[in-house]
Amino acid sequence: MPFSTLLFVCGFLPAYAAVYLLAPARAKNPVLLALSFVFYVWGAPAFLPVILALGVADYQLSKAIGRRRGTRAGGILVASGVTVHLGTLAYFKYSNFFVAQSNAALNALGMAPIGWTAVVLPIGISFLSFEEISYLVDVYRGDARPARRLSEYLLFLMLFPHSIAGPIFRWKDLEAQLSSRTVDASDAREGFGRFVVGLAKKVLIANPVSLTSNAVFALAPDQLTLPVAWLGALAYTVEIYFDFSGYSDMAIGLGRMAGFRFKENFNLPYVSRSITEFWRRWHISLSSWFRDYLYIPLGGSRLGPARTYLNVFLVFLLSGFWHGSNWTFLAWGAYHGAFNLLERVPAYARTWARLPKVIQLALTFLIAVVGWVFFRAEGFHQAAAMLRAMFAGPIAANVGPALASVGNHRALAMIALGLVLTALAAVPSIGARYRDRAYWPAAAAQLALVPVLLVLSLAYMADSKFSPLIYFKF
Amino acid sequence: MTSALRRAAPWLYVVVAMAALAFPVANIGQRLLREPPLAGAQEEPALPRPTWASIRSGHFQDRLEAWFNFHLGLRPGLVRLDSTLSWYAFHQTSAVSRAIRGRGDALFIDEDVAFLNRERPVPSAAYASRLGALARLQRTLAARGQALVPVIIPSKTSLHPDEVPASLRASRADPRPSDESYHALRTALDAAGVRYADGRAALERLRAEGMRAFPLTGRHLSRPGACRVAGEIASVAADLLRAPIAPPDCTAVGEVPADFQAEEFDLRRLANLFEYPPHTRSVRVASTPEVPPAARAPAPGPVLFVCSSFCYKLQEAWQRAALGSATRYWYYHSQLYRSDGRPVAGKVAPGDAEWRENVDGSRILVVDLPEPMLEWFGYGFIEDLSDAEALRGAAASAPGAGAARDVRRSN
Repeated sequence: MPFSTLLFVCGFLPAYAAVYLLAPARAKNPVLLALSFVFYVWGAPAFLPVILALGVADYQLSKAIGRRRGTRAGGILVASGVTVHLGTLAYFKYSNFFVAQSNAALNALGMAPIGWTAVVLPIGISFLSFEEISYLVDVYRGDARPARRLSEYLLFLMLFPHSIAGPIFRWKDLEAQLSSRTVDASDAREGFGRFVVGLAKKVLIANPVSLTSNAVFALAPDQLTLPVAWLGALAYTVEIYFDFSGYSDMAIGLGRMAGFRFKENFNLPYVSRSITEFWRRWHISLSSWFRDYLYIPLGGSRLGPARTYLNVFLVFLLSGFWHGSNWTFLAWGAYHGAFNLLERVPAYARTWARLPKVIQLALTFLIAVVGWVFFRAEGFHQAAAMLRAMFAGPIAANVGPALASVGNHRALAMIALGLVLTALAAVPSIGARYRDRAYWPAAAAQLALVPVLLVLSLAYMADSKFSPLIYFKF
Repeated sequence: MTSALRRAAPWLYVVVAMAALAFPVANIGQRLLREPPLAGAQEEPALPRPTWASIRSGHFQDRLEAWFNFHLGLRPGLVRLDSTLSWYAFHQTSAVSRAIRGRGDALFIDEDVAFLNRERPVPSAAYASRLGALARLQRTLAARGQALVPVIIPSKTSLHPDEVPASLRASRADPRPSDESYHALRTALDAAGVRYADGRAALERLRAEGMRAFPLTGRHLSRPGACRVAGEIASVAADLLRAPIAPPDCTAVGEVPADFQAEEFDLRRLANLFEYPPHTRSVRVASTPEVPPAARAPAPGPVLFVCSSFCYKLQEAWQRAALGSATRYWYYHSQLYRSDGRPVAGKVAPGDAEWRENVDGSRILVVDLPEPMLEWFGYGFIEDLSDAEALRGAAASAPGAGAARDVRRSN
């Protein structure tokens, strides 16, 4: 049940707020766990036994690891736990891809393909696996205590606000909040406000813009012109940010309504002045996970420049592959990894530092936009066609119709609005003022904005679900 | 008091917000608020019954969500709000609406705009194989005193391409593939020996006189347009029947009804805006006769229109001109539905008693060849008719058939 549906907003959300806020303190966690069960049963009932089994196994394993912390036996236990989770992730997320690649190779060799029934990807498996791994590793490292109650650990895993699209939680960040937290009126109000802002980002900006990006990426290579290809790439740049950060906002808001304080997952990534900075601002929970559980264990920057470069590149490569089981995601990871490495080369770094800030900002944005082409493309063939059109494509004489064929006024306006909002939020005097709770005009604007955004979002959701036949008489 | 209010205010805010969100759900069961329904037909989803298998596969959830979305309270108002916002702020219909806003507030259905922007002409293979059967049927029926009249119905974009905004009109070589499709269809019909009414040619002549062939905010023919096409049909039918049929008198000043439900506004209505559209004002329209009204000829007999939604207007024009003693309209959309100017009343099974009675009892049978649907539009009726004729032929040649006919006559 995605958050940006009428069923969630008008059905699940009020029920959640009423049941949770009215529940006595002792019943709040059971209520939240029950609601999370319902949420999970709705979205991925077939996967529920798997998540429960893994949760129970983690719970037991973490107790054993906790008792053998720092020992070889503990190391074996944590390694076996990590292997199970990576194996689960590999099976559900990557087996189809690997079988397809194997079959392509077998086909080329004239051999019979592997018989295979495609595996359905359960929602949130990527986030869940990383959370479980971080839990076991943190317990082993002594950074976290094993969960005292199974119900608390299951709630950590299944907490519905994050079960679809993150952020990636860590047990050590939530443990205290899971066992004891309070929710007051301002939590409920601000959480709801944050949810609505996220909903509006997703529904009012990302969804209309997706019509354009989908239309462009559906074009045949010979239909791609330079302006159309750039429009498609820009549209996707806006779409993915407002979609993903909108979801994170909704998750943070829903958590806040229950008294949780989740960490921020985005921090205006499109105003970064380098790709390194971009990754400190984009999907922060994932970047920090890779840093803490892969980059540092690999040696980080402690083993000399060559090993550092290798570690950085490997982290980005795997980060790309985490996003999806396709070569294009690997390419996207490699692309970002390459720029990260480049920024570590002293000569490049010096030259970059001498550039005016606005040029750094524009170039970083451009690099990100080009990178999204790999991320969005169905395959290398399409990515190559898009990039060819973006940098060497024909400028059609009839630019207006060409653009209009893939973008409607609303989508174009939302692309522009998305970029303007991002730029405005980055202006310190504006962004800081808006977030300043003591500044009453900002507080009043936020209060007034929430109902307006909510009604507009509901209207768009209702309208986009209404696609009738013209022949009203029938 | 003030501090208590200040403490209570955030809770009040949340409570009011949640109550407001829950209201549409409450309205599903209680119907606390009655709203005018949205324009446009949508199939009402049934409330699904949960079974373990359906929950596990996710079908139950999908169906329940569809049911929820359909019945959710305030939905018509929300849809209208978004559509109105889209119309005024972005100068377009909502993203998923099939109505497309053109120049001067002209509206088009997406299918017609897609037809105008075709990259290649409609492949004649889509219909060529049926034209031989059509010609044979036409001859067979004519010999029995029935006229089978196919009529070419143009796309609105073929007659009013200038009203499609340049931003939505793809540049194409001249002649446009959409126009080539029309010429290719005519050539194929001529080659097969099919007599047909060329609705597009009639409407182009009407347009040259400064009249609208299609209403500004409707998809289907305007009243003068329908009258002209009805005249073409009458002319072809008269030739096939070798009997005079008086052409419709299109000189009468007509009045487009102010009724918002009229088909002149079907696309505007489909836009589902809050405001009452200005185009619903009654508009007086007049047309000069293409052929001067001839001496009144006797009514040709019952007419059956078996076609797409375009025939609503043809049937209306035919009735208004009092050309036939009775008309009947069967809507064809991969399946036959009886209509008679009302919402579809039910399906008609090809070959059954009702089918045979109406087909055999009609003096004129009209089938349409709508430009935007040439590739897929159901030629099923022609096939059904061919099957029926084949059966009739087989029955006639069977021993004792003459006796059976005599028995039927005596009944």
